[in-house]
Amino acid sequence: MRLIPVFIVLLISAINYSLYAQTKVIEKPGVVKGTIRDSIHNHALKSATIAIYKEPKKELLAYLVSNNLGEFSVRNLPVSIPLEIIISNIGYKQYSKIFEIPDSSAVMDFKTLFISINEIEIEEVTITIPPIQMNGDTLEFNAAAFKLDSNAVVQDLLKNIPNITQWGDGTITVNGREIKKLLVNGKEFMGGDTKVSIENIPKNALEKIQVYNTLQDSKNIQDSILHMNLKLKKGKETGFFGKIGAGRGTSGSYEADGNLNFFSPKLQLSLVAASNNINKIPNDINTLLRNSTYKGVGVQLDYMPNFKVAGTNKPTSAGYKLEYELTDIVNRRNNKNLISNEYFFKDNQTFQGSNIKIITSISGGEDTNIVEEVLTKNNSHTDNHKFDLGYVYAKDRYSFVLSQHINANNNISSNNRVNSSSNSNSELISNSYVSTNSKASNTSYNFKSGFNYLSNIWDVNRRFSGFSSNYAIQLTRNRDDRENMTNFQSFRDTLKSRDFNRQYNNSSNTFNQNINFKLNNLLRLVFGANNFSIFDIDVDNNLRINHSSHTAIAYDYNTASKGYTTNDHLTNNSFYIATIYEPELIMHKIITRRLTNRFHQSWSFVFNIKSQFFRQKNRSEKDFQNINRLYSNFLPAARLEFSDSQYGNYRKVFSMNYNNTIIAPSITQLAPLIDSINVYYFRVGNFDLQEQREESINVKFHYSSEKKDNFEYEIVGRYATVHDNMVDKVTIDQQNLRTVYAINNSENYEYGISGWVRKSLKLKHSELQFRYNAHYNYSKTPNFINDHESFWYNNDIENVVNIHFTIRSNVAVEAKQNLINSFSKESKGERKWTNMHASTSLSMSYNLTNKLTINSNLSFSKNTASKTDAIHYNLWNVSAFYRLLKGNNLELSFSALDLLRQNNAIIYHNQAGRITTGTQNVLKQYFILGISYYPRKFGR
Amino acid sequence: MKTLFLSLLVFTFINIHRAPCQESCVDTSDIMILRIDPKTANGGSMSRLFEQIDFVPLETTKESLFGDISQLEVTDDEFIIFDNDTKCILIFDKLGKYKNKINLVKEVGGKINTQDVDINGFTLKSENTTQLIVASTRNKTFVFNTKAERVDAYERSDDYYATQEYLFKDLTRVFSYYKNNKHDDKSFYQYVLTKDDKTVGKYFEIDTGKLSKNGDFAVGGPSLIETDNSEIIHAVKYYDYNIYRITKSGISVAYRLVFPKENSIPNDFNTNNIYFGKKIDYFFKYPKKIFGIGYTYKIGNNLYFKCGGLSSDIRNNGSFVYNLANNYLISLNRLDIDDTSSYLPIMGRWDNNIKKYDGEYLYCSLSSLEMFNFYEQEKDKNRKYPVVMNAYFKNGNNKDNPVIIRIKPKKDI
Repeated sequence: MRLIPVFIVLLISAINYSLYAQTKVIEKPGVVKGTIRDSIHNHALKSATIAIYKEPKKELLAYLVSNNLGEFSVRNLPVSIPLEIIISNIGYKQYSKIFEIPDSSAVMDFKTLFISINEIEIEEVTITIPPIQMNGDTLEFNAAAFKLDSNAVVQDLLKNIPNITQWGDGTITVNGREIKKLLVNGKEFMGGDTKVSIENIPKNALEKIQVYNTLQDSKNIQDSILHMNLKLKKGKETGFFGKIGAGRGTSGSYEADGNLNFFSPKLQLSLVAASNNINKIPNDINTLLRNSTYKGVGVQLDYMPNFKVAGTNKPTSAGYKLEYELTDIVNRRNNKNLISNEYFFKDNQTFQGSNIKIITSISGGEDTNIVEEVLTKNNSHTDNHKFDLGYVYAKDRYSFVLSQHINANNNISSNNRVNSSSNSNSELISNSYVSTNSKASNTSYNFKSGFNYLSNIWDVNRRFSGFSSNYAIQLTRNRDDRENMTNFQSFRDTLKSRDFNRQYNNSSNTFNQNINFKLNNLLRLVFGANNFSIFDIDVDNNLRINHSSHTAIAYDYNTASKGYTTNDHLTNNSFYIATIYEPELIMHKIITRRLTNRFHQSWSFVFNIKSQFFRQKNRSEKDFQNINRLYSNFLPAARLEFSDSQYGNYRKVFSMNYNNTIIAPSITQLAPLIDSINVYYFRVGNFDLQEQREESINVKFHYSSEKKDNFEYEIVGRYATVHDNMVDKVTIDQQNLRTVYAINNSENYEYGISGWVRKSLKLKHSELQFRYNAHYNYSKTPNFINDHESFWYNNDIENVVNIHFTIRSNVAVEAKQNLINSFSKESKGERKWTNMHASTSLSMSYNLTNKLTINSNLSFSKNTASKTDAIHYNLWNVSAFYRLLKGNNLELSFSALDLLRQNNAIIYHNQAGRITTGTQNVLKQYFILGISYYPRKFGR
Repeated sequence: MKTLFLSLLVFTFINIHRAPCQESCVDTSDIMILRIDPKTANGGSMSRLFEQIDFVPLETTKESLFGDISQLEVTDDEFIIFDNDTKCILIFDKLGKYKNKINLVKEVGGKINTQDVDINGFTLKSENTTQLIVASTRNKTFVFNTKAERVDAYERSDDYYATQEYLFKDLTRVFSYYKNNKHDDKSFYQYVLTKDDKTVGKYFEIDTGKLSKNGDFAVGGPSLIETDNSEIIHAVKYYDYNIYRITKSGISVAYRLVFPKENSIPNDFNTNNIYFGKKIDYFFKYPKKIFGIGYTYKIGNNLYFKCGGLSSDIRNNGSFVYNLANNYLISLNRLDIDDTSSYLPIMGRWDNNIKKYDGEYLYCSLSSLEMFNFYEQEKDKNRKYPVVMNAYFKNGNNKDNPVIIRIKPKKDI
């Protein structure tokens, strides 16, 4: 789109930079080589570390490890200047020598260098720490060998290690292989979020980064999972870090947030609080921690505020999170004895306003279109309390989990809605004004317990393979008090004009239970370990019993008595029980084929033979709502997976899933209590309604290269159809009053294909990351209006291209192009609908100095849709951050948001011929000045 | 009650006294102690240890492609290989040309998954002048000739069980992992000596109780290890650093290997109840501990052996040769390539070791992945490789079959 030239410029810059870097390399052709041997025991030293420094400041120029013959060769070094070589190997004395590469030959050949075993450990204190070393199978990067700013964090260190790539999506790869788990001192750190670890822990608190394989198959050395452990320096295992910040801006905007986190080998505690009126809505503690990391000295693009949330919000939140290890058994794998506790409070005041137009196409009637203009305003005040307590115990083959979760919500809201309906000739046919005030509360208590046992896998003759059992209960209590005033006016039939003033006092209590028991490998248990090996069967039983009681009391204002009288029609007591029992036999088989050090292929087949018995029982004071129904369904499922791992080349995984799911009709669909206050919408019951069954097939193909080229892609396909789909049949009268009742219809399907591809290039001082996502979906949906049946055929296409480029720690640029197209056509008639959304954005972060960073984010958006004018809007946000104090603990910030004053939130969608377009209120331009302090101490 | 207590006491008493009578006594009168510190093992040149090294790339065709050499047997004309990946026994001639193979998955039948075939090796038996390949599942024994033709198959009897046997000149037979239900003593022994069908020695009763099913770490290799003296066989045990000498007269401890404390299991590892059923977990917890030794070939004054351990220090530096005359320890993993090895490696990473000693030659193997990685690394040096290896590097690739390395060891260093 508009920024395509910018993309090209970026790419050319990247290529130029790369060429420039390479040109610079050619200017430094010096080579250092040699062979390292043990002087006493007469053997080559494999995996010794060779580091070359530039004298006199000891600037690290290059490092590598010796090969299996003890040889090394370092290229691209400067000639005719003093250099130092330092050779290190665990358990050996360090060798160092100052030298110059002669200009004439440009080669410094050390021939054979002998180093000897270090008998006295204490001598190691004086040695220079090598940047990289092999410690057994563990690749170690020593933090002290990399000289960075004193305020650098682990992330800055990662950027300075050529073997390590940190991706835009947070993934970390080492030599092209993805790190699956990041630990700190062998444990998850502050909830296990990588970002929280690497953007807070100072580089100076780190002793080393350890990268190691957790071997799955010792015969196939390349078949393993990579872990990264951040080993803190001795004495740095205890400490605290956090952030306290506040900001004030134009238009009354403000923000304040703070968090303080304590950690020790056994305890991890986070205290958080935040408040603002600029739509930064934290839903949990982890989000707050993620968004207030210290960050180091490098550039960051994610400093940009999210400015596109619809409506305006004033959230205030606070909470704590605690994890305590009862026994310190970190050395044992899979052993846990952990208590966790979390409390989170959130209060939010929201204002949302929208102005939308809904066009409903009607076939065959007097009017071909009904046009509704809807203005809504909603003020809401919600507070929410969450309290979690959990305990996990896992030892060897047993694991036991207990957790409870308490949630309490209170909500007060007022809503105004003005609706005007016109016909095709733009004649007003009706309008309504609805004002609602409500006060609702909801409390729930959840308890879950689980026990899992796996038998000893080393016992090849074992019959019993293990089982798992889970039990969960949920208790909820809801209360909803509402008053609703509605004024409806018909311009075609004035007799139909009505006024309502109604109050509701609704309450409900639920008690849900879920019990599950799964027994693994039944055939092995019955026939023995070696007597039947064609396939095995797991047995799964799941029982859910949901009880709920509902009390609804409604009052109408009586103008004569000037008081409220009970509405007998809507006042009701009811009791609902749903009992769902799902027995399931899971037949499974894995077939593997391997050739050591070449490939490992496996086929996995799973067939689920599952039935569902769903008893739905409703008892009500209204006779027509007394329902007792049983839905019995056979719900087969299957999964096929093929994986092909060609060691050192690639890994391919193909999977196919077939699934069936049931949705039973609700009481509202079967036998609703019709409330006349919903003037435009009457739902009528349908006792003949059957349960719907969705049948779907998903296909997925994933390719990842195991070479160092960081290339990966995925393609996903899906087909689904809903048998006896519960769809609404709508009758629209002359006043645009709609009578709706659900029917079953099977004439629908959807299929789609999506995929992504990503690739990165790590150049000498820069990195280029490329990602492309695409999605296509096609569906057929039925539409029933006024006894006319038609079908809409919908096409949705989305393309996203993302290019991320960083140069050292100074500049980060991201360009993104997003294009969404929708096209729908009706089966009868000529009605079509198209919608296109295109946006191009360019984000940049630049470190002007060590202390000053400037960020800019510019996006161009365009929306076009049938029957509406095209909308263009551009958004430009700029921010600057300045760090003060020795430890960069103090930060001053200034943000200018929506500089062009064009921010917009647009609604466009087509729901089977019901086309909705409009806008919602959003935050507009403001400027905000902020100050933040980052208290930090790693070590006592 | 009193009677019951008394009878229990008597029973216990009888058991205590019966146990030593069941097993023959191991002679411990002449033990040579060898101190082994893997860290300080010496390197050296191939020429110091070996007279000659030949490389035999095994032919790679669609039919002959296999994974890894789990077991290697060498006859006058052939290499016979068991590949655990494909559960095939493959026969190659001495030049590496593929001859034929026995697909045990097809022979056993009824198994969809290759790894469900419960065969992990074979034994080679000489009958008159022909060699027979015998492979057994839990229930059935299959016998093949070296043309890969099945000559017999029969249900295995529960009455008798042994994995390997060796015949001394005086017709004393030694069996490993031996059990005979027709005898009064139906216990399971690691080694049994018989002469004229009479048991003359029983050694190391194996616990077949519940905890024995929890698995063990073993170094692998033959249970009856040939030496350069046909009247002496070597044997090793789980979690034991002794090398046992088996002769026609019985079993004695020949060598006791002593490792540094950080690599050694506790002395009471096999007797203390706290380790029962938890031995595998122990080695996961303390990976530097050596769980056993194997492949103990004695050639002249040189004792070859391999240590088993989970840590990479041991897995990458666990194969040694100990000169008994001058107490000099050499690590096979630390040898320098030289002219004798045609400047090619003979030992790879991760548990690779000598797979066979046939009285004259030692045999080991390297995967094509390792061989080609080495070739790429050394490409700039323009090494002169043997003709057969030049052809292999020219025409093959890193997915080819492994290369067998035949080594003629010197009798003394």
